Amino acid sequence: MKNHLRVLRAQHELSQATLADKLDVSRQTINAIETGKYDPSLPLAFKIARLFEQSIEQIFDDES
Amino acid sequence: MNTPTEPTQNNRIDRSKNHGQIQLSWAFALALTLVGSSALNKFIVAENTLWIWVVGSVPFLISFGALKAYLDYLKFADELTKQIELEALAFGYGAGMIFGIGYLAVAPGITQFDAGRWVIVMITMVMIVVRIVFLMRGHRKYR
Repeated sequence: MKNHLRVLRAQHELSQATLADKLDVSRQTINAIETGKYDPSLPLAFKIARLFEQSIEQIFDDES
Repeated sequence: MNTPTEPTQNNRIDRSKNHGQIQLSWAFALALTLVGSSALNKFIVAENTLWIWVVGSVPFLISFGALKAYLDYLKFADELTKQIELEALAFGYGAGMIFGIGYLAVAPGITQFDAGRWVIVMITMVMIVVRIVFLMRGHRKYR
């Protein structure tokens, strides 16, 4: 599943470690999501969407 | 940008790391007592005494602590770590089963009923080694 997490993180000038801190996950998890190797759980996807004030569909794209 | 509603400050990750270290300590203690009690029973404790049971039960009791520590570690681990652990456990268990069934199928003259303790030891070793290999693979894959 593709996502725009890396772009959003860059726009907000956050490092992977800082974003991981905010989401209460490991930096490894953020990296795995950004590279598309790992799809986050629904609670984590909601957390990400809430943090960046966007909908899940705006961040994650399951059709590409 | 919203701040998360829950108090985070990576509490979970810190706790996960602490529990990871505790879990490793228990695993180390288990390995030490397993080897230690086997050696004691083999070379020092006389057979057919109560001590052979007392010494032998120490690693058995410690294994409960190790299991509890591992479950606590999993409880506080983040979701990717849980997935890596689950994959590694599944591959380890599967490899052990395949090895066990395969060994009994091809080893000459051995059946399930007289396989002996070495087969159990080998199956356990295969499970442990494959689990470690897949843990390392998982951490490399998602690095």
